Amino acid sequence: MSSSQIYEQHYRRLDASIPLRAQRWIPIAREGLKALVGFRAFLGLIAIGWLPVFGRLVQVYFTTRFPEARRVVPVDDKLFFDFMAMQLPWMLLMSAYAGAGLIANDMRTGGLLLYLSRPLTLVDYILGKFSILFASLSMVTLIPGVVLFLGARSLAPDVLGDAAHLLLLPKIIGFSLVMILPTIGLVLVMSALARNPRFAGLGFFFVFVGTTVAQGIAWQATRSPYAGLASIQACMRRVGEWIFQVKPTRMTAALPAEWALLVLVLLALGCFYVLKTRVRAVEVVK
Amino acid sequence: MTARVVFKKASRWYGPVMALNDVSFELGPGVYGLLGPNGAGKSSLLKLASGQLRPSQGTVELLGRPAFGSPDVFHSVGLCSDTDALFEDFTGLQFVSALLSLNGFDEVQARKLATEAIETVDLKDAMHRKVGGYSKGMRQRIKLAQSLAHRPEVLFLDEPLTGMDPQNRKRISDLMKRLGDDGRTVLVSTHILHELEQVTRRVLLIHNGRVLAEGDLGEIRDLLDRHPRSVRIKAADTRGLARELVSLPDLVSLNLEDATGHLLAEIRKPDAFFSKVQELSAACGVEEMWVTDENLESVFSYLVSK
Repeated sequence: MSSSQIYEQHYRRLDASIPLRAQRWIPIAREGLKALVGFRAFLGLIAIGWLPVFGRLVQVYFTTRFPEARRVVPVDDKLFFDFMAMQLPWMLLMSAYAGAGLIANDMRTGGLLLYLSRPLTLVDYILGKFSILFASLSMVTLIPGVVLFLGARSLAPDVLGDAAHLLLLPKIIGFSLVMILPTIGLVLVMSALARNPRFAGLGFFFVFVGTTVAQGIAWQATRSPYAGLASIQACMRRVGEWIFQVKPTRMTAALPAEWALLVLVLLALGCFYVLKTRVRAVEVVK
Repeated sequence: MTARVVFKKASRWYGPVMALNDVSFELGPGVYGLLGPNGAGKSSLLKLASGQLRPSQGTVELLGRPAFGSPDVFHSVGLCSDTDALFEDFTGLQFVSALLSLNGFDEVQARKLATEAIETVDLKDAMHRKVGGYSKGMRQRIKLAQSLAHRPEVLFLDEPLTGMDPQNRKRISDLMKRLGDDGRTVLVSTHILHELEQVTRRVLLIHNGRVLAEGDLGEIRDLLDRHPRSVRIKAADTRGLARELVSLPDLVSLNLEDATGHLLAEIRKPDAFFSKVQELSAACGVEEMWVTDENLESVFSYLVSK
C-alpha cells in the first residue's frame, strides 16, 4: 500500500526530552490571523479604521497650503492625541469582533485540547491568542498612528521635521499600548468566562460602557477627582493626555495620571491572572 | 519491556466524586484496550495519562516524565480525544498541517507529514475540503490523522471508531494493530468489546474508577462464557423450538412468555446456542433473536460480583 509510510517506517525511538522550542505561540497567532483575514467584516473594520488617517493627512496638507489655518487647526501633539483617542471606538469594535470567540470557541467545543496535547504551555496558548488581537488592534491604532506621523512629517517638514517632534513616535506607540493591552486582557477574559462569543462580546461592551456609567455616578455622588478611576475609558484618556502633554478635559482634569496608569496596569495583570486560572483544556465538573 | 506509561497509585477526585481510585499499571510497546462502561473512568484515566489532568494522589508518568506539566513530552505523544472540536473553516490538510506547526515542523515538513497521515486514514480525496463539511466518520478519521501525523511514540485514542462505517473500522483497526507491531504504545478506549477484539488481546478493564482486571482478552471471554446470557426469540413455532433447544448442555433455563409468545433462554455458551438456533430457524420459523444483556454494564456487574 502506497499510503502507509507512517507505520512502514518502523519504530524509531524518539527522545522524549526534546526541548521546547522558542516562540511556540507564533503558529497559533499565524493561523488565527489567517482565519480572521478570511472574513470580509474584519477587513472592512480595518478599512474604516484607516479613513481618519486620510482625513488627518488632508488636514495637514491643507495647513501647508494655507499656513494661516494653523491657528485654527494646528499641527501639533494634540492633533495626534485626538486622532488616537478617536480610534478607540474602532478598536473596541475590532476587539469584540476578533476577540470574543478566540478562547470561547476553543473552550466550548473542547478545541483547547487540540492545542494542549501539543508541546505547548498554557502561557503559549494565551500568548498566541494575545498576539492575534495585538496585531488586529494595532491595525486600527498603532500602525495608522505611525503612518499618520510619517505622512504628516513628509507633508509638513517645516512643522514636524525637527528632532524634537520625533518624540511623537514613542508617544504614539505608548498611547497605543495603553489602549491595546488592557483591552486585549479584558476581551480575552470575557471570552474565557462566557464561553459563547456573543455573550463575550456583549460582556466586553457592558464592562466598557458600565465603567463609564459608574464613573458618572461616582462623580455625581462624591465629586471626587478619583471618580474617573472607575472608568477604563477615562483612565486611558487621562494617560494619553499625560503622554501627549495636552490639556485634560473637564471629566479627566482632576484625575491623577499615575493613578489612571496604575488602574490600567492592574487591570491587565488581573486579566492575565484570570486567564491563567480559568483556561483549562479539561473541564472539571464538581 | 520499557514502560512508557506508568500509573502508580494514581487517584483523581472531582470535588467529592472519585473518578479514579488507586490505579496502578504500566504500559510498554503494543496496543492496549481500555475497556469499561460509560462513567467507569476511562476518559479520566486517558486525561491523566495524557497530562491534561493532575492526579489528586499518586503519580502518572509518561515517557519517564510526570505526565502533567511536561509539555515537551508531547513531541512524542498523540491524542485523539472524544471531543468533536475541529477547526471548521480549515481544510483537512490545513487542519493537520496547522497542528503539526505547533510541534515545530516548518510549512513544507508539516504539509508532507499531514498528507501522509491523511492518506493513512484514507481521506486523501477529501483533504482539500473544509472540515466543517465532513461526515461524522470523516471527522473521526481526520482527528486520528492529526494524532498520528507527527509519528508519536505513545498514542491515546478515545473511542476512535465511533461513527465509522464497517470498512473504515476495519482499516483503522488494522492501522492500530500495525502501530502496535511497529513498537508504539497505543492505548485505545472503548466500551464495545468486539471492536477491541479486532485490535488487541491486552486489555485494562475499568469500572467505578478502579482497574478491575488487566490482561488477556481471552481470559475475560472465558469469564463471559461462564456468565449466563439472556436471549429472547420470536418464532412461529416457539414450542417446537423449545423442544429442540432444551437438550442443549449449556442451557441454564428456558421459559415461554405467555404475554408475548417469545421464548426466553438463559445460556452459557452463546456461540453454540446461536448455531443451533440458526439450524432450526427454517423449520421453526425463527423471526427475530436478540441478546437482552449483551452490554458491558451487565458484563461488569457479573465480573464485579465474582
